[in-house]
Amino acid sequence: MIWAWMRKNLFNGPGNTLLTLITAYLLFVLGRSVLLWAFHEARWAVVPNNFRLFMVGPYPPGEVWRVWVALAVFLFAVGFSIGAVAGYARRALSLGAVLSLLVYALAWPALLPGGRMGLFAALLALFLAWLLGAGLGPRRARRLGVWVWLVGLFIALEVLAGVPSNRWGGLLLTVVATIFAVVLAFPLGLLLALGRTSRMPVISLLSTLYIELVRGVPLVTVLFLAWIMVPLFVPENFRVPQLVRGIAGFVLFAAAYLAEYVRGGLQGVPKGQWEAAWALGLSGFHTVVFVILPQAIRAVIPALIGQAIAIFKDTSLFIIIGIMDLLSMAQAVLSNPKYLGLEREVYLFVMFVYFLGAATLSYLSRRLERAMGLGSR
Amino acid sequence: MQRVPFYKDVRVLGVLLQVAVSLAVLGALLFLGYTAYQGMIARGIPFTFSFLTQEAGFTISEGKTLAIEHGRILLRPFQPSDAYWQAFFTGVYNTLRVSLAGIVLTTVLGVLVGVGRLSSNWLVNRLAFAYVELVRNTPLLVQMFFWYFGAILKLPPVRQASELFGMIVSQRGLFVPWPVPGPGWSHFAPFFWGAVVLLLVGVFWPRARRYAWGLGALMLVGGYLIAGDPLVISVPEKRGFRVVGGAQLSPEFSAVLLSLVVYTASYIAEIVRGAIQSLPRGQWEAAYSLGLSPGQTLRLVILPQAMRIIVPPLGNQYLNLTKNSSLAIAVGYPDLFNVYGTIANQSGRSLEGILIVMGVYLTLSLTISALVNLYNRRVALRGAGR
Repeated sequence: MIWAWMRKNLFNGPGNTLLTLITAYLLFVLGRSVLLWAFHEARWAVVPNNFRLFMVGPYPPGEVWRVWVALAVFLFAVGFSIGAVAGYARRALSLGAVLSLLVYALAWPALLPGGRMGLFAALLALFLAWLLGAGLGPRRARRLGVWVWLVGLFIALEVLAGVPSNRWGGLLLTVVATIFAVVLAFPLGLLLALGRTSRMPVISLLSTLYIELVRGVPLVTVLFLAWIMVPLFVPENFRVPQLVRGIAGFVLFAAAYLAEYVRGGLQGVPKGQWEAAWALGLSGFHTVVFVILPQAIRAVIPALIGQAIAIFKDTSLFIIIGIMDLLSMAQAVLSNPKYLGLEREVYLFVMFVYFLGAATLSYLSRRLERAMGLGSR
Repeated sequence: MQRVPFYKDVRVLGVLLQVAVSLAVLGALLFLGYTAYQGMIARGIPFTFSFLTQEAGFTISEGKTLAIEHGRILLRPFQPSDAYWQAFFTGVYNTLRVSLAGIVLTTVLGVLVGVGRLSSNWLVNRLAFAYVELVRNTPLLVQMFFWYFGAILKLPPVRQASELFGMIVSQRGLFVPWPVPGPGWSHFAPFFWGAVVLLLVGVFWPRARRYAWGLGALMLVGGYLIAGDPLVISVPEKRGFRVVGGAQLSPEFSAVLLSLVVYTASYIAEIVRGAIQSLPRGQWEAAYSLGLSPGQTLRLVILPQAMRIIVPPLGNQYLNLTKNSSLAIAVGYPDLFNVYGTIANQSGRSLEGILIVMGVYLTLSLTISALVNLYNRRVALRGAGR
């Protein structure tokens, strides 16, 4: 059987056989040296030794419980949404439970203060909320969902803010910045998209100008501009926290891209929908909010999540304006003479963390697409 | 018919809204500009571009600048005694250098991987998939750091460097064989530039292409016969701790180029794959039943059709690559943004500088998208989109 499969997929014809052999040889050479390096030469101890730094940066160890509480609240909202969209989804639920047990059993979270307890609480919150969301049923759960997220984010922020934001760092800061950049950029992007498609020439011109201007320049320059400009607008003795300046730059940048995705969705809504809504006597505002936007946004959810992933990856640019995100923490560890020359280990670990985050998000996006029946309606 | 009162008239309201919005935006801009201006005066750094002609006083590790010497305009390496605007020029030069090289290489790699994703060969297929997923799901900046600190700087120094196909791969960068003007270059140059012009004529004027390119080829051959060897390939050679001959790609340039190429290629691969998959299966089957080989099918039937779908998003990726080259500051390659950073530090003109930088990037973006649109109009179906 395996021979038949190999003949069909690897050795069907002389050209393919040659291709297979060459690729296999190259893979073997590469794989061998990588594995040899990973198990013999690499000194991975740098990762567990600095795990707290990578995860929360200079956050005071005694206050790390705040991060766990915030994580629990965040996962509660995540679980609630999953439950609301997917229902019990028994297979996914049991798979998630097994995975969580596995994560829990692996020792690394124990490297953080209060790791065992905190992780347990956070995972518990995820599954309780999942069951809760599924139990309420899709209609009620979806209506509550927005409030769960808003209140949840507020509580999480309040808990975290017990420590001033200039001591946030590592993955914590990366995630917080991503969430806030997405949440704040979305309404701005919506407005810009509506503005660009508007029939009023002035508004459409201004929106188009903004969108094209921002899309024509690199993210670093927008971050830098926000970095330079924001302090000029506030009184001299009032210091704007670095994190806020950084997020402001991200919001300005991401809104332009989000706007283009939403515009794509808006253009996909048939004209008849507008006319039908007006014929029913809905005002312009009501038409947009209750008829057009729900359809437009539904159609572009995958693109929007793609943008969220892009923002998550782009927060690594914070290092250039001196905010202590995950990548900056990696640089900080590497500048420690004890860990000199361990660039490969550290950067591979950082890549792994980003990969986990981005891959999870895109997996969820694909599931969400299917759950909402996108493309099949 | 009853008249609608003016405050309920949609047209009047629309005009009022637009006037209000424009006034608000104008007001906000004026307010922001004024506050910023005042803020800058309060900090003792009034807004002015006069610093551009002052002496820069720092060095830039690579790249060329525009200079006027003995009444001739020429390109030469940047010197500390040059002005700030010349430093900016060097930055633009370096950005263009890495972006152009990157665009060419990433297109090749991206198309290869994209076709590999569709290969019936399981191993190639999975390999291409793994490549795309790994590269797309990690930040470019981390990859750049990895290539620079984790790969290139870990290479052996020149003395122990390995030689591959005439290249020398070392910590000090990549040394590649490079054509340099030979003894006949000065006589050959007019023929060469003539051929370049004819090549461009052929690219943009399809009807005259055969004649233009034929004439161009004739000119090159004729020039070679008249002038003798125009180019000599200079091969790098190790001499102790140094390398002589060839062209050096600095470690920073190599890292930026490598990471941009690898990263962008993963996106191009997905574009290529999507475009090819979107073609009806019947196209393949029809080509096979006409007796074309898989390679011929791809080259003659599939790719020309896929190009129509590929070109606009491909242009977007070229734009992204150019904009992403601004991350070069992280590894110290002196691109536009990096040079700006030095200038801002030295002169304190961060706001003026960033406006110049943004203007340059905007111009680059508009130029690239104009070129892509021009090309797109040629590959698009006649009459499509009109």
